[in-house]
Amino acid sequence: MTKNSQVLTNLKKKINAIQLNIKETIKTPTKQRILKDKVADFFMNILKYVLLYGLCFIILYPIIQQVAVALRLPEDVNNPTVLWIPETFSLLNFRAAMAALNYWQSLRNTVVIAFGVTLLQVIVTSLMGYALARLKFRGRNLIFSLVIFTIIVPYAMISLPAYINFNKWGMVGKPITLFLMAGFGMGIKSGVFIYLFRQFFRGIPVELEESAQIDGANVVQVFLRVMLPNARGAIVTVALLAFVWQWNDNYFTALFISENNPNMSTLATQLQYLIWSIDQALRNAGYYAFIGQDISKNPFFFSMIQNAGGILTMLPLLVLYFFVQRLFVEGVERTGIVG
Amino acid sequence: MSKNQSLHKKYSKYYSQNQKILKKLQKALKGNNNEAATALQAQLDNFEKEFQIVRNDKVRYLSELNEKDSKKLHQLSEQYDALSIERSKWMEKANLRVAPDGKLKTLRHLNKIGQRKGQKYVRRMIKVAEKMQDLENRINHRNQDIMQVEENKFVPLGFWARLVKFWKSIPYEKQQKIWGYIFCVPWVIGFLIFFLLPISESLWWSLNTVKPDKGVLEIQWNGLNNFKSLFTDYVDAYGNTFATVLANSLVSLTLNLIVVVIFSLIIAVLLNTKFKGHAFVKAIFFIPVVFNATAIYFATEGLGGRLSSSMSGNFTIANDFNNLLRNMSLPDRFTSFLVTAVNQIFSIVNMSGVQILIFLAAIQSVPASLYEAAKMEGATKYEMFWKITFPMVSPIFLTAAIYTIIDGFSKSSILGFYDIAKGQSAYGISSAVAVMYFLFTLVFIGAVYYIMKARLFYYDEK
Repeated sequence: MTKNSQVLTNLKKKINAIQLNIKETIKTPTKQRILKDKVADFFMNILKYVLLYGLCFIILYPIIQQVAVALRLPEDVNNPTVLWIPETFSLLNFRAAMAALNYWQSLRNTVVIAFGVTLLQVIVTSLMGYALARLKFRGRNLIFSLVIFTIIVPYAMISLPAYINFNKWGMVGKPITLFLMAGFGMGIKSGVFIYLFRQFFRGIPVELEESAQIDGANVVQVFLRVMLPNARGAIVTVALLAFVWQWNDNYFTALFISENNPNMSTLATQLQYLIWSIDQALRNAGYYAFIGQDISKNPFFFSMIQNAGGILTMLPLLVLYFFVQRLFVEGVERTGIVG
Repeated sequence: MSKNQSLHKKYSKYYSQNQKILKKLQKALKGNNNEAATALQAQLDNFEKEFQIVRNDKVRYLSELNEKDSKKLHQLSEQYDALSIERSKWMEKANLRVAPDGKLKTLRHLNKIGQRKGQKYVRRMIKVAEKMQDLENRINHRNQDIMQVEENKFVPLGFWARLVKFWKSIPYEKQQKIWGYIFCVPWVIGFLIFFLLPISESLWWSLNTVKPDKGVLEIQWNGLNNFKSLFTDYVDAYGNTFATVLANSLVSLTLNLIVVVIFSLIIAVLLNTKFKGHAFVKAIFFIPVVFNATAIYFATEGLGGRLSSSMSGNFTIANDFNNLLRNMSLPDRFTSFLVTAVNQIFSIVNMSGVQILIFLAAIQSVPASLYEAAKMEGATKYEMFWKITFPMVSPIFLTAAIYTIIDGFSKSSILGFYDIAKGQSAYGISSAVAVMYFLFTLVFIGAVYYIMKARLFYYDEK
């Protein structure tokens, strides 16, 4: 008992001391202000964590959900007791989606087209960006304003006449159309990339270039040996964006290639037309044999396969993203896309 | 030039033959093959006569050129002297201390004019001097060449070597100019073929009726009727007219623009601070940049939405959230507001990936010294944001806003009309849609630019 009461009195003393302390701190204005700042900081911190992690959750939620839905057995689609973790894991959806997407061929096409386009985009836009940033020639400002103009013009202005022209030249249905457009600096959002490179090269100090000049380097050597190694961040950013936008593009790719040549269709275009092609594809692959009638008649079955197709389309990109993510974020932060 | 080339060819031919014979001779001498050596020596002697003629030709040609150039040099130096005399005349006026008529005004006038003219002449003199330097260099080089030819030591260069030599003789600034053009050539070609041509075709078609007929386009002048029928005859899948769709998309774009720009600024500021799980959160935040809209559609609206609307399954994020709030027994109105907000947040986050990137880059390029100075003065974080970060980042608002507008337009429902008209193969109408769409974008961007331009703060480092 005595021990307990001793502890209690000790506690009371401590509390009193703290209260006194607080009272004293509140009296002096500077300390008051510091306290205020600290409290504000504390709440701001809480807000920050809640906001950022909440938004992370919002971004991740659909992906997790997609995966959870895709891993279910088709029989469980309508099962309201299954919420997150599937009752029986099955890769049936994935296999069906692979058959419906014609996955391996489409993946190969996508990779080939995206890699080619990215390479060409990076080469052409970096050259243009360097020329517009550092090489002084007549008409430079005019060309730069034209680049900005190409960013502003919507693609609907271009696509139909371009398609008819390509058709006239006999290039529709071949990936060379996209390669040509990228190689001549008119690929998907090339203008943005040129702008990005220009801003980046303008941020590299001129002294670096001048010292290389004095050492006897010519323009190409300066570009290759001095500017490009310093522009690693910009290159990673542009390459990733070009790759991703080409991978996800279903407008130009469908219009110029896949609609006229199904053998060259990419994952994005396949996914777009999946809802129409799914039935035939599954029948051809013989999936209905081991799935019951009641499932194949269920409208959600198709949606589920579409969902799995979506995951399959995004999966390579996500894997790639997590490999280059650090470089990408770093690159963006050092690009100074400042206008 | 052609004479020079033929001479050069002849010379290099003879030179290489001469070298060959010399090599053979050396070989023969090494092998103690006296007969062959004497024969080769004789051949060489014979050859030497012809070679001497060619060499003389070359020397004569070069010295002719040198004479010409020295004449030019003489002229230039005369010109230079004339210019310097002229300049000194003007400089006298510039350095006048007393005006001829004794008035201060004329003195000042004369001084000013004298200075200006003097500078002009100096510039001209510099140009002439540069030319003279160039010519002198050339003459010196030629003299060296002549010496070498006479001593039979002149080594003729191949085509590429000469080209490289010529290229290196171009000054660096001119090289930059030439490379600038070379770097821009592919883009300019692409611009003409893949951009300007389709755009002008679009503009032309929008004023015509265009029908594809067995692979050939029938084009007939139609004036502005395409635009008229676009506004009167066409409705989209939901029965809205073109004018209403335009108005709706204008409203939604404006709202999106404001929300997205502010949201991405806030997120960028937050991401720029230090906190736990910094790298992880950043990596997550840029996933929407990588993401495919159609692929995620199945999760948010397609499958999840349909599933949850038809049965009790909780699929969409909004539904989950809704149920959670219901369980907390909050008032209904409040719940529905929060739910729509959450739904909106998802689309906003998905729209603002690139804008966050832009703002983050801008914030990080603000010099740290500004913040340090502010800290020394005792500024709070709030003050630092409004007085430093915000004004320094403000020029980026324009970039972010324009990007948002372009991005938003590419997803706008105006394109539904485009597809409808294209489906009817009324290319004239679809071009009219594209032109309207373009004009709309242009006007919108122009308006945003005009509003923002006056309110932006430009920090001049230089």
